[in-house]
Amino acid sequence: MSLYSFFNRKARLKKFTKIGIVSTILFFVAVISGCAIPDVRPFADATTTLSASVRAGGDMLITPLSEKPIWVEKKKKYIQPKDPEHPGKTLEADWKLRREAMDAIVIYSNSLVAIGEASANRQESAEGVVNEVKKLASLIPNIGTTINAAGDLVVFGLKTYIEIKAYHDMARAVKSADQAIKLVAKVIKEDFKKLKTAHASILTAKLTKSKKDIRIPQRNYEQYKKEQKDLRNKILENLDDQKLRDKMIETDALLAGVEPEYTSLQNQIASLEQEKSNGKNFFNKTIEAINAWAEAHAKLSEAFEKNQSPNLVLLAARAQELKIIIEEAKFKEIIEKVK
Amino acid sequence: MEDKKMTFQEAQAKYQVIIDEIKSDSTPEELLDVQEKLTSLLDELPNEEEFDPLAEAISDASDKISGTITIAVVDDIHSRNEAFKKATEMLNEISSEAEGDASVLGLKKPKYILSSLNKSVEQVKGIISDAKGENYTDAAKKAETLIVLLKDMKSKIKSS
Repeated sequence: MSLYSFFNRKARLKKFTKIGIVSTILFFVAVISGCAIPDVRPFADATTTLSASVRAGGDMLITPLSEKPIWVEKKKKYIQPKDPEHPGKTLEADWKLRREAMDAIVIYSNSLVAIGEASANRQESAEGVVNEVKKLASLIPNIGTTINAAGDLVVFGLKTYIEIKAYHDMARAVKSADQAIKLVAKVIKEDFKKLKTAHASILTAKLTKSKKDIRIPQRNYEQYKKEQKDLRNKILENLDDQKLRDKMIETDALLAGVEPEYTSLQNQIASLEQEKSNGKNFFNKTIEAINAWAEAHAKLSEAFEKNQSPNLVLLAARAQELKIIIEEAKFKEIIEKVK
Repeated sequence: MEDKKMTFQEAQAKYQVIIDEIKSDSTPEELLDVQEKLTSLLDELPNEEEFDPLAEAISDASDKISGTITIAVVDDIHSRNEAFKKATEMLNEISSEAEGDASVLGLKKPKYILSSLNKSVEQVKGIISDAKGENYTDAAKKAETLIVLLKDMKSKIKSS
């Protein structure tokens, strides 16, 4: 072995030892900094679903309310929908603030996802920078080989930097937002409890009216039905009695006259009962989902505090459940029926 | 044993008992309970003409109670507006900072600068080569491209 190759090997060995030490240090920095970036997509998905249910919840009351004269006990009169003091107008303006808050939360949760994605793509981003550096070095004589040798170390260093920074950026955002998330969850929950009551009340009033309206058609229907049955029995005993036959034709006609209104009111009552039950279910499920959602965010914040990985699986399941409720409930149809 | 049919007086008394539950400080939930009781009473009423005025009164009361509930609910929701304004403001600030962080983490800026530098160096090399070959027209064109590249890079760095 020549003296030159001996020193060359020694220098290379020294260089790789240095790279090894630096890599080890960076690795430990990464571990100590708690760099496991949680996948916050389930939280972002749940937020989007929740945002949709907040919109739907508001519309479920705003739409029927805006077109209904409302009794004001203090004034002892009905306020018409066109009146500027109609409560539908106030609710619409107030609900806009809820929609804006939910939009802000959706943007916030998406910004967390963006941090997570930047961290997940760190290899690609780091390589992109190093490749540009290598390209630049190749254009300048005598630098290329040195940069090429250090390339892997730089990629590793950049990756580690991104991972650590992403973790700390996400932790800072989550901790700062937790107070606002708790506040929104608390007030939205209160709002939904009240919306549930008002929605049930409007439907109960409609149901009561329909049940009052059905009384006369039902009475007539039952009376003609009874007459029809009695006549049928009498005709069976006196098949040749023309008067009875004429009376039967007359009764059939009367029954046919009241039946459509009676059936329509029956259907209306059944539909209102179903709608009331759907609404109650929707508001209860949304309140449950808000609890789970705020709890998940608190857990996320706590996990960053303790350098642990949060469990967002349960939240993902709840978000999916809520999504199905919203899709199944077909709220547009409900709103149309409440009008 | 056969159920005894409700008389009009009994029905009227039941109605009055339910209506008397309404107090000036009743909550929307308590009022909803009254409404539900009225609906149940309506279900119990015999379907006879004599009871129709009471059915009418029940329906009318239910609609008026619904108005009182609605107004109380809207007032209650309105009282929480400030909390939403505060939370929205706070979240918008956090989101904007987090979006900036995500952009830094994507190394978009260094990648862009390096890519522009590469293009600039290539242009410089081209200018030198053209100048050596005394091809001054092409050298001038490349110099113009280089200036555009450098200006673009400067403005991108400033804006990011």
